[in-house]
Amino acid sequence: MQDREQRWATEMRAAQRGCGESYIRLLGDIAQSLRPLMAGDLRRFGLQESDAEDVIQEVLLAIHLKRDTWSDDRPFLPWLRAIARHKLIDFARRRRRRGEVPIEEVAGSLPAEAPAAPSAVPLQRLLNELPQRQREVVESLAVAGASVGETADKLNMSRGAVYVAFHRGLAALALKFGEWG
Amino acid sequence: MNTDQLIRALAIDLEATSAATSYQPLWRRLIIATSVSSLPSLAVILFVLSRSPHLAHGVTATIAYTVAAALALAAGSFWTAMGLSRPEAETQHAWLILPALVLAGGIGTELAQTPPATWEARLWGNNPLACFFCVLLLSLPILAGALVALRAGAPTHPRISGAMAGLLAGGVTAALYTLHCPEDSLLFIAAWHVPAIALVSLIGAAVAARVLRW
Repeated sequence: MQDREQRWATEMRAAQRGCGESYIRLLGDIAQSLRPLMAGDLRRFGLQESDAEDVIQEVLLAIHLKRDTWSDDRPFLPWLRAIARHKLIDFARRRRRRGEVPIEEVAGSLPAEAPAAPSAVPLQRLLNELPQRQREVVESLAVAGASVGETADKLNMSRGAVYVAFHRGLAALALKFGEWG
Repeated sequence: MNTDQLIRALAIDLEATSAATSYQPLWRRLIIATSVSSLPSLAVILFVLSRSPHLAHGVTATIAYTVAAALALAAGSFWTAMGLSRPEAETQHAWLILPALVLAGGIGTELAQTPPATWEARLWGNNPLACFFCVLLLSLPILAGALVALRAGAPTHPRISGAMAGLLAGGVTAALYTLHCPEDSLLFIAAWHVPAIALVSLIGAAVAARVLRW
Protein backbone atom coordinates (compact mmCIF):
# COMPACT_ATOMS: atom_id res chain seq x y z
CA MET A 1 0.00 0.00 0.00
CA GLN A 2 2.80 2.33 1.02
CA ASP A 3 4.54 1.28 -2.12
CA ARG A 4 1.56 2.09 -4.30
CA GLU A 5 1.10 5.46 -2.65
CA GLN A 6 4.66 6.39 -3.49
CA ARG A 7 4.57 4.97 -6.99
CA TRP A 8 1.34 6.73 -7.94
CA ALA A 9 2.31 9.98 -6.27
CA THR A 10 5.55 9.96 -8.26
CA GLU A 11 3.71 9.28 -11.53
CA MET A 12 1.19 12.00 -10.75
CA ARG A 13 3.95 14.50 -10.01
CA ALA A 14 5.50 13.69 -13.38
CA ALA A 15 2.09 13.99 -15.01
CA GLN A 16 1.49 17.38 -13.47
CA ARG A 17 4.72 18.51 -15.08
CA GLY A 18 3.25 17.39 -18.40
CA CYS A 19 4.61 13.85 -18.83
CA GLY A 20 1.99 11.96 -20.84
CA GLU A 21 3.70 8.57 -20.52
CA SER A 22 3.58 8.63 -16.73
CA TYR A 23 -0.01 9.73 -16.95
CA ILE A 24 -1.01 6.83 -19.21
CA ARG A 25 0.70 4.36 -16.86
CA LEU A 26 -0.91 5.92 -13.81
CA LEU A 27 -4.45 6.06 -15.21
CA GLY A 28 -4.13 2.52 -16.56
CA ASP A 29 -3.03 1.25 -13.15
CA ILE A 30 -5.83 3.13 -11.44
CA ALA A 31 -8.45 1.76 -13.84
CA GLN A 32 -7.17 -1.77 -13.32
CA SER A 33 -7.18 -1.56 -9.54
CA LEU A 34 -10.61 0.08 -9.50
CA ARG A 35 -12.30 -2.62 -11.61
CA PRO A 36 -12.83 -5.27 -8.90
CA LEU A 37 -13.50 -2.61 -6.24
CA MET A 38 -16.10 -0.79 -8.33
CA ALA A 39 -17.88 -4.02 -9.25
CA GLY A 40 -18.09 -4.97 -5.58
CA ASP A 41 -19.31 -1.53 -4.55
CA LEU A 42 -21.97 -1.47 -7.25
CA ARG A 43 -23.20 -4.88 -6.11
CA ARG A 44 -23.45 -3.59 -2.56
CA PHE A 45 -25.49 -0.61 -3.80
CA GLY A 46 -27.82 -3.07 -5.52
CA LEU A 47 -26.69 -1.92 -8.96
CA GLN A 48 -25.32 -3.86 -11.90
CA GLU A 49 -21.67 -4.79 -11.90
CA SER A 50 -21.59 -4.28 -15.64
CA ASP A 51 -21.76 -0.53 -15.00
CA ALA A 52 -18.33 -0.59 -13.36
CA GLU A 53 -16.47 0.42 -16.52
CA ASP A 54 -18.72 3.47 -16.99
CA VAL A 55 -18.08 4.66 -13.46
CA ILE A 56 -14.35 4.07 -13.87
CA GLN A 57 -14.30 6.17 -17.03
CA GLU A 58 -16.13 8.88 -15.16
CA VAL A 59 -13.57 8.68 -12.35
CA LEU A 60 -10.71 8.96 -14.85
CA LEU A 61 -12.27 12.04 -16.43
CA ALA A 62 -12.75 13.57 -12.97
CA ILE A 63 -9.14 12.85 -12.01
CA HIS A 64 -8.08 14.58 -15.19
CA LEU A 65 -10.27 17.67 -14.93
CA LYS A 66 -9.65 18.10 -11.18
CA ARG A 67 -5.98 17.14 -11.14
CA ASP A 68 -4.99 20.57 -9.87
CA THR A 69 -6.79 19.89 -6.57
CA TRP A 70 -4.07 17.39 -5.64
CA SER A 71 -0.96 19.11 -4.37
CA ASP A 72 2.13 16.96 -4.28
CA ASP A 73 2.80 17.55 -0.59
CA ARG A 74 -0.34 15.57 0.25
CA PRO A 75 -0.95 11.81 0.08
CA PHE A 76 -2.32 10.68 -3.27
CA LEU A 77 -4.47 7.68 -2.34
CA PRO A 78 -6.92 9.53 -0.06
CA TRP A 79 -7.42 12.08 -2.83
CA LEU A 80 -8.03 9.34 -5.38
CA ARG A 81 -10.35 7.41 -3.06
CA ALA A 82 -12.42 10.52 -2.38
CA ILE A 83 -12.90 11.14 -6.10
CA ALA A 84 -13.81 7.51 -6.81
CA ARG A 85 -16.25 7.47 -3.92
CA HIS A 86 -17.81 10.78 -4.98
CA LYS A 87 -18.37 9.52 -8.52
CA LEU A 88 -19.71 6.16 -7.36
CA ILE A 89 -22.21 7.78 -5.00
CA ASP A 90 -23.22 10.25 -7.68
CA PHE A 91 -23.79 7.42 -10.11
CA ALA A 92 -25.82 5.40 -7.58
CA ARG A 93 -27.93 8.46 -6.77
CA ARG A 94 -28.68 9.08 -10.43
CA ARG A 95 -29.68 5.46 -10.90
CA ARG A 96 -31.92 5.54 -7.88
CA ARG A 97 -33.59 8.73 -9.05
CA ARG A 98 -34.36 7.02 -12.31
CA GLY A 99 -36.13 4.38 -10.27
CA GLU A 100 -34.15 1.45 -11.53
CA VAL A 101 -35.12 -1.75 -9.74
CA PRO A 102 -32.03 -3.58 -8.57
CA ILE A 103 -31.64 -6.52 -10.90
CA GLU A 104 -30.77 -8.79 -7.98
CA GLU A 105 -34.34 -8.65 -6.70
CA VAL A 106 -35.64 -10.47 -9.73
CA ALA A 107 -32.50 -12.38 -10.55
CA GLY A 108 -33.61 -15.49 -8.71
CA SER A 109 -36.51 -16.09 -11.04
CA LEU A 110 -34.63 -15.35 -14.23
CA PRO A 111 -32.15 -17.39 -16.20
CA ALA A 112 -28.63 -16.09 -15.82
CA GLU A 113 -28.02 -13.16 -18.14
CA ALA A 114 -24.89 -12.74 -20.18
CA PRO A 115 -22.99 -9.68 -18.95
CA ALA A 116 -23.37 -6.64 -21.15
CA ALA A 117 -20.74 -6.40 -23.85
CA PRO A 118 -18.01 -3.91 -22.97
CA SER A 119 -18.70 -2.06 -26.19
CA ALA A 120 -22.01 -0.91 -24.69
CA VAL A 121 -20.27 1.88 -22.75
CA PRO A 122 -22.28 5.08 -22.98
CA LEU A 123 -19.23 7.22 -23.67
CA GLN A 124 -19.75 6.59 -27.37
CA ARG A 125 -23.37 7.64 -27.09
CA LEU A 126 -22.46 10.77 -25.16
CA LEU A 127 -19.83 11.50 -27.76
CA ASN A 128 -22.53 11.67 -30.41
CA GLU A 129 -24.25 14.46 -28.51
CA LEU A 130 -21.24 16.79 -28.64
CA PRO A 131 -21.11 19.72 -31.06
CA GLN A 132 -19.82 18.48 -34.40
CA ARG A 133 -16.33 20.01 -34.26
CA GLN A 134 -15.65 18.70 -30.76
CA ARG A 135 -16.96 15.27 -31.66
CA GLU A 136 -14.79 15.07 -34.78
CA VAL A 137 -11.69 16.08 -32.86
CA VAL A 138 -12.32 13.72 -29.95
CA GLU A 139 -13.09 10.84 -32.30
CA SER A 140 -10.02 11.48 -34.39
CA LEU A 141 -7.61 11.79 -31.46
CA ALA A 142 -9.11 9.37 -28.98
CA VAL A 143 -10.96 6.73 -30.98
CA ALA A 144 -9.05 6.65 -34.28
CA GLY A 145 -5.74 7.36 -32.54
CA ALA A 146 -4.62 10.02 -35.01
CA SER A 147 -1.96 12.53 -34.01
CA VAL A 148 -2.75 16.17 -33.38
CA GLY A 149 -1.04 17.15 -36.64
CA GLU A 150 -3.02 14.61 -38.69
CA THR A 151 -6.24 15.70 -37.05
CA ALA A 152 -5.50 19.36 -37.74
CA ASP A 153 -4.81 18.62 -41.41
CA LYS A 154 -7.81 16.37 -41.85
CA LEU A 155 -10.26 18.79 -40.25
CA ASN A 156 -8.54 21.84 -41.69
CA MET A 157 -7.95 23.43 -38.28
CA SER A 158 -4.90 24.87 -36.57
CA ARG A 159 -3.20 22.69 -33.96
CA GLY A 160 -4.20 25.17 -31.27
CA ALA A 161 -7.83 24.96 -32.34
CA VAL A 162 -7.63 21.16 -32.21
CA TYR A 163 -6.34 21.29 -28.63
CA VAL A 164 -9.03 23.74 -27.56
CA ALA A 165 -11.86 21.76 -29.19
CA PHE A 166 -10.47 18.58 -27.66
CA HIS A 167 -10.27 20.03 -24.16
CA ARG A 168 -13.79 21.46 -24.39
CA GLY A 169 -15.05 18.17 -25.75
CA LEU A 170 -13.62 16.25 -22.79
CA ALA A 171 -15.06 18.72 -20.28
CA ALA A 172 -18.45 18.49 -22.02
CA LEU A 173 -18.27 14.70 -21.90
CA ALA A 174 -17.69 14.82 -18.15
CA LEU A 175 -20.75 17.05 -17.74
CA LYS A 176 -22.89 14.80 -19.92
CA PHE A 177 -21.81 11.83 -17.83
CA GLY A 178 -23.35 13.59 -14.86
CA GLU A 179 -26.66 14.05 -16.64
CA TRP A 180 -26.77 10.58 -18.04
CA GLY A 181 -27.85 7.49 -16.14
CA MET B 1 -14.54 4.89 -26.87
CA ASN B 2 -13.10 2.31 -24.50
CA THR B 3 -11.12 3.01 -21.36
CA ASP B 4 -7.70 2.72 -22.99
CA GLN B 5 -8.71 5.16 -25.69
CA LEU B 6 -10.03 7.52 -23.04
CA ILE B 7 -6.75 7.35 -21.11
CA ARG B 8 -4.74 8.14 -24.23
CA ALA B 9 -7.09 11.02 -24.93
CA LEU B 10 -6.59 12.41 -21.44
CA ALA B 11 -2.81 12.17 -21.85
CA ILE B 12 -2.98 14.16 -25.08
CA ASP B 13 -5.05 16.78 -23.31
CA LEU B 14 -2.62 16.82 -20.39
CA GLU B 15 0.34 17.55 -22.63
CA ALA B 16 -1.59 20.22 -24.50
CA THR B 17 -3.00 22.04 -21.48
CA SER B 18 0.09 21.96 -19.29
CA ALA B 19 1.95 23.75 -22.07
CA ALA B 20 -0.81 26.21 -22.89
CA THR B 21 -2.44 27.41 -19.70
CA SER B 22 -0.96 29.14 -16.70
CA TYR B 23 -2.29 27.47 -13.62
CA GLN B 24 -3.91 29.66 -10.96
CA PRO B 25 -3.92 28.31 -7.42
CA LEU B 26 -7.40 28.22 -5.98
CA TRP B 27 -6.70 30.63 -3.12
CA ARG B 28 -5.66 33.26 -5.64
CA ARG B 29 -8.77 32.64 -7.73
CA LEU B 30 -10.96 32.98 -4.66
CA ILE B 31 -9.27 36.18 -3.47
CA ILE B 32 -9.53 37.77 -6.90
CA ALA B 33 -13.14 36.68 -7.41
CA THR B 34 -14.20 37.89 -3.97
CA SER B 35 -12.44 41.24 -4.36
CA VAL B 36 -13.73 41.93 -7.86
CA SER B 37 -17.28 40.88 -7.07
CA SER B 38 -17.40 43.08 -3.97
CA LEU B 39 -16.63 46.21 -6.02
CA PRO B 40 -20.27 46.79 -7.11
CA SER B 41 -21.44 46.45 -3.52
CA LEU B 42 -18.68 48.79 -2.33
CA ALA B 43 -19.65 51.29 -5.01
CA VAL B 44 -23.29 51.20 -3.92
CA ILE B 45 -22.28 51.71 -0.28
CA LEU B 46 -19.92 54.58 -1.13
CA PHE B 47 -21.88 56.40 -3.80
CA VAL B 48 -25.55 55.51 -3.38
CA LEU B 49 -26.04 55.04 0.35
CA SER B 50 -25.29 57.83 2.82
CA ARG B 51 -22.12 57.85 4.87
CA SER B 52 -22.46 56.58 8.44
CA PRO B 53 -22.84 59.58 10.78
CA HIS B 54 -20.73 57.78 13.41
CA LEU B 55 -17.62 57.76 11.25
CA ALA B 56 -17.28 61.48 11.92
CA HIS B 57 -16.28 60.56 15.48
CA GLY B 58 -13.66 58.09 14.31
CA VAL B 59 -14.02 54.35 14.67
CA THR B 60 -16.70 53.65 17.27
CA ALA B 61 -16.73 50.50 19.38
CA THR B 62 -19.68 49.23 17.35
CA ILE B 63 -17.80 49.65 14.10
CA ALA B 64 -14.62 48.10 15.51
CA TYR B 65 -16.39 45.02 16.88
CA THR B 66 -18.50 44.64 13.74
CA VAL B 67 -15.51 44.81 11.42
CA ALA B 68 -13.51 42.44 13.64
CA ALA B 69 -16.29 39.86 13.80
CA ALA B 70 -17.09 40.22 10.09
CA LEU B 71 -13.47 39.80 9.05
CA ALA B 72 -13.03 36.83 11.38
CA LEU B 73 -16.10 35.30 9.74
CA ALA B 74 -14.83 36.04 6.24
CA ALA B 75 -11.34 34.69 6.99
CA GLY B 76 -12.64 31.51 8.62
CA SER B 77 -15.10 30.75 5.84
CA PHE B 78 -12.46 31.53 3.21
CA TRP B 79 -10.08 29.09 4.83
CA THR B 80 -12.77 26.42 5.23
CA ALA B 81 -14.00 26.78 1.65
CA MET B 82 -10.40 26.44 0.45
CA GLY B 83 -9.92 23.26 2.45
CA LEU B 84 -13.21 21.80 1.28
CA SER B 85 -12.28 22.21 -2.36
CA ARG B 86 -9.98 19.21 -1.94
CA PRO B 87 -12.12 16.10 -2.43
CA GLU B 88 -10.72 14.23 0.57
CA ALA B 89 -11.25 17.11 3.01
CA GLU B 90 -13.26 16.76 6.19
CA THR B 91 -15.50 19.61 7.28
CA GLN B 92 -14.45 21.90 10.11
CA HIS B 93 -16.69 24.27 11.99
CA ALA B 94 -14.83 24.93 15.24
CA TRP B 95 -13.54 28.31 14.02
CA LEU B 96 -17.12 29.67 13.84
CA ILE B 97 -16.83 30.25 17.56
CA LEU B 98 -14.31 33.06 16.95
CA PRO B 99 -16.53 35.64 15.19
CA ALA B 100 -19.35 34.66 17.56
CA LEU B 101 -17.09 35.37 20.55
CA VAL B 102 -16.02 38.73 19.16
CA LEU B 103 -19.63 39.73 18.65
CA ALA B 104 -20.69 38.40 22.06
CA GLY B 105 -17.83 40.27 23.72
CA GLY B 106 -18.89 43.47 22.02
CA ILE B 107 -22.50 42.99 23.03
CA GLY B 108 -21.45 42.33 26.63
CA THR B 109 -19.46 45.55 26.68
CA GLU B 110 -22.35 47.48 25.18
CA LEU B 111 -24.87 46.12 27.67
CA ALA B 112 -22.52 46.97 30.54
CA GLN B 113 -22.16 50.56 29.37
CA THR B 114 -25.72 51.45 28.38
CA PRO B 115 -28.86 51.75 30.53
CA PRO B 116 -31.26 48.79 30.13
CA ALA B 117 -34.08 51.17 29.21
CA THR B 118 -32.33 51.90 25.90
CA TRP B 119 -31.70 48.28 24.92
CA GLU B 120 -34.95 47.72 23.13
CA ALA B 121 -34.59 50.89 21.07
CA ARG B 122 -31.00 49.87 20.22
CA LEU B 123 -32.09 46.43 19.14
CA TRP B 124 -34.73 47.74 16.76
CA GLY B 125 -32.92 50.81 15.47
CA ASN B 126 -34.72 53.05 13.02
CA ASN B 127 -35.06 50.93 9.95
CA PRO B 128 -34.10 47.33 10.67
CA LEU B 129 -35.56 45.78 7.53
CA ALA B 130 -33.66 48.18 5.28
CA CYS B 131 -30.38 47.06 6.85
CA PHE B 132 -31.40 43.42 6.70
CA PHE B 133 -32.19 43.59 3.00
CA CYS B 134 -29.19 45.78 2.19
CA VAL B 135 -26.77 43.28 3.72
CA LEU B 136 -28.62 40.42 2.03
CA LEU B 137 -28.71 41.98 -1.45
CA LEU B 138 -25.20 43.46 -1.34
CA SER B 139 -23.87 40.00 -0.46
CA LEU B 140 -25.36 38.21 -3.43
CA PRO B 141 -22.90 39.37 -6.11
CA ILE B 142 -20.00 38.43 -3.83
CA LEU B 143 -21.59 35.03 -3.24
CA ALA B 144 -21.83 34.54 -6.99
CA GLY B 145 -18.18 35.50 -7.46
CA ALA B 146 -16.99 33.17 -4.72
CA LEU B 147 -19.01 30.27 -6.14
CA VAL B 148 -17.57 30.79 -9.61
CA ALA B 149 -14.05 30.61 -8.15
CA LEU B 150 -14.90 27.50 -6.12
CA ARG B 151 -16.02 25.69 -9.27
CA ALA B 152 -12.35 25.13 -10.01
CA GLY B 153 -12.14 22.95 -6.91
CA ALA B 154 -13.51 19.47 -6.32
CA PRO B 155 -15.71 19.73 -3.22
CA THR B 156 -17.35 16.51 -2.08
CA HIS B 157 -19.47 18.47 0.39
CA PRO B 158 -20.80 21.06 -2.07
CA ARG B 159 -23.55 22.35 0.22
CA ILE B 160 -21.13 23.16 3.00
CA SER B 161 -18.77 24.79 0.50
CA GLY B 162 -21.70 26.88 -0.71
CA ALA B 163 -22.63 27.81 2.85
CA MET B 164 -19.02 28.91 3.42
CA ALA B 165 -19.13 31.01 0.25
CA GLY B 166 -22.27 32.63 1.71
CA LEU B 167 -20.56 33.37 5.04
CA LEU B 168 -17.58 34.77 3.17
CA ALA B 169 -19.84 37.04 1.12
CA GLY B 170 -21.85 38.05 4.18
CA GLY B 171 -18.72 38.75 6.22
CA VAL B 172 -17.20 40.97 3.54
CA THR B 173 -20.49 42.81 3.09
CA ALA B 174 -21.01 43.35 6.81
CA ALA B 175 -17.52 44.83 7.11
CA LEU B 176 -18.06 47.17 4.14
CA TYR B 177 -21.54 48.07 5.33
CA THR B 178 -20.15 49.74 8.47
CA LEU B 179 -19.30 52.61 6.11
CA HIS B 180 -23.02 53.23 5.82
CA CYS B 181 -24.81 51.65 8.74
CA PRO B 182 -26.62 54.44 10.59
CA GLU B 183 -27.15 52.34 13.73
CA ASP B 184 -24.65 52.44 16.57
CA SER B 185 -25.43 49.20 18.38
CA LEU B 186 -24.13 45.64 18.28
CA LEU B 187 -27.54 44.47 19.45
CA PHE B 188 -28.82 45.78 16.16
CA ILE B 189 -26.01 44.09 14.23
CA ALA B 190 -26.70 40.77 15.94
CA ALA B 191 -30.45 41.02 15.41
CA TRP B 192 -30.47 42.13 11.77
CA HIS B 193 -27.11 41.67 10.07
CA VAL B 194 -26.44 38.20 11.44
CA PRO B 195 -29.75 36.76 10.17
CA ALA B 196 -29.11 38.36 6.77
CA ILE B 197 -25.69 36.69 6.63
CA ALA B 198 -27.22 33.38 7.72
CA LEU B 199 -29.75 33.66 4.90
CA VAL B 200 -26.98 34.34 2.37
CA SER B 201 -25.27 31.23 3.67
CA LEU B 202 -28.43 29.17 3.20
CA ILE B 203 -28.82 30.51 -0.33
CA GLY B 204 -25.20 29.58 -0.99
CA ALA B 205 -25.79 26.06 0.26
CA ALA B 206 -28.92 25.65 -1.87
CA VAL B 207 -27.33 27.01 -5.04
CA ALA B 208 -24.05 25.15 -4.58
CA ALA B 209 -25.74 21.77 -4.76
CA ARG B 210 -26.11 22.53 -8.48
CA VAL B 211 -23.35 25.04 -9.18
CA LEU B 212 -20.53 23.13 -7.49
CA ARG B 213 -21.40 19.77 -9.06
CA TRP B 214 -18.60 18.05 -10.87
